[in-house]
Amino acid sequence: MPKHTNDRLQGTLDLLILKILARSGAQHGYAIAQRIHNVTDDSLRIEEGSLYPALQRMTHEKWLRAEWGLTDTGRKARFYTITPAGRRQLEEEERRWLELTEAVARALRFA
Amino acid sequence: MSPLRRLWNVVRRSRMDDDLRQELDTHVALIEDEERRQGVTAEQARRNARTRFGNPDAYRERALDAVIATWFEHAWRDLRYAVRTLRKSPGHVAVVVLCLGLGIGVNTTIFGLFNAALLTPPTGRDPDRLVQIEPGNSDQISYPNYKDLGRPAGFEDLALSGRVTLNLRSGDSLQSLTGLQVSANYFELLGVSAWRGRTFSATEESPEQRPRVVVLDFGFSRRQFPDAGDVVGRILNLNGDAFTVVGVLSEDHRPGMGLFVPDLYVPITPIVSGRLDDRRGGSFDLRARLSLGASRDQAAAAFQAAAQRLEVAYPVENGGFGRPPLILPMSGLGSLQVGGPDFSQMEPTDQLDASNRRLPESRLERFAKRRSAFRPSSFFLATLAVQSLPRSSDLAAVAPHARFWSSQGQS
Repeated sequence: MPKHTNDRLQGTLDLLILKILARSGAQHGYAIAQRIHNVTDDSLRIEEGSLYPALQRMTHEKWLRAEWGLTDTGRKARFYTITPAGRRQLEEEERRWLELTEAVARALRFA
Repeated sequence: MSPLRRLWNVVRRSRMDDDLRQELDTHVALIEDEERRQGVTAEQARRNARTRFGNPDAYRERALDAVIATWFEHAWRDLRYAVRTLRKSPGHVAVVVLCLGLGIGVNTTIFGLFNAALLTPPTGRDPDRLVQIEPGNSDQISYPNYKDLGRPAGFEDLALSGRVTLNLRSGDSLQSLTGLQVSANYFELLGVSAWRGRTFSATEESPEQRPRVVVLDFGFSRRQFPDAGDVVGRILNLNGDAFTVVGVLSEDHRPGMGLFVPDLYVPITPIVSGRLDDRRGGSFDLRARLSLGASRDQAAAAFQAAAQRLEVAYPVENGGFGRPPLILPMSGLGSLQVGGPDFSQMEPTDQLDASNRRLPESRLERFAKRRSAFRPSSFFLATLAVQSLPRSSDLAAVAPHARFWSSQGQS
């Protein structure tokens, strides 16, 4: 039973986190936030207040796996990696996202 | 404060909370590093990081809420799934519920018996030598037969007891009590002495003198007279007669009657027992103490010899009285044996033939007398059989929904 299908905003954040982790391997929260920031050319700023609840929830859903490690600068941080279940969820979310945006785009063109 | 939060507060100091705190601290520190790389002073960097990041405590709580919400969502989803699945097979559910119910019920019963028989033997001296006797014609004995039996070889003494309901009047209120009417030697036979006052003495042996004395159970005495120091010497109005309290049993007294604990004890008298001269059947339990070194078989043989004499003397009233008695220990595993059936009702006594020899035993009777049928071992085997029933079907019912508590995976 896929979740958050009605909750676009939350779903979007999930989607972005999953996508980034699928591309780049283990990342800590700060790096994920930076990454979203960079790849969207500053147009999407992820508020940390939403990021950590999302990471917690997704870890709980077993889409992510969390492990403690050290950053380049030697700070203790929690690194997240995507799980196989997370990849399946990513596919599903991507498909839904494209469906939604295409539908909206069509509507905008022909309405 | 949301109910979720309140629930969470109970386990607040968990690892998850500490982890989150550490994780958020790291995040702030990393922002701080970034600011410093841009040439800001350490002090300024810290302030900027705080401002950019926001309130870590609030984030942490939101993150924890998210986890709790997810957990509840999963639990709710699994519950609905379980209910949906179970509703499809009501018969199955009924069987499982029945099996579980039976299993738990049997368990409780067995433990009750086990506890009464093994873990808490009756109070008194040498409980191993205490036995319960069921004569050949009934599981109880009449007062005249008890008197005439005397003391067969192999027995130190024999005593009578019988449950009796007594009405206690105090002022205008009437209270129904469960008592035990006993022969005067009852406590002596058990080897129980009073905690306060005394138990019954030989002068109370003769019912004709209608002794009006009573010995109280400790618990009852406490309930009835919570603030009275010494209750010995008090007068109780029982069944309309004034009885004097002569003693109170000690707190740890166990009568050895399973779950039954009498409130009080009175001597056997016509006041509480009604007519005592009817020889037929019986209304009293017969307890005895085996002599030192005497086996139950020897005692049983001596008892039977004495009983046979009484059957010959009173053939009409005592038909079947001389048959082999059941002698059951009152403590230990053996006391779990279920008493024999009432032979006098199972088989008409006129089946004795002219020469007074007994007819061959009926199959049912033989079965009842074969102790093995009532041995604890077979009892426990039966219990095991009953218990394994719910276990297997229970597993079968739960296994398909094994995801119930370990779910979380969407896969």
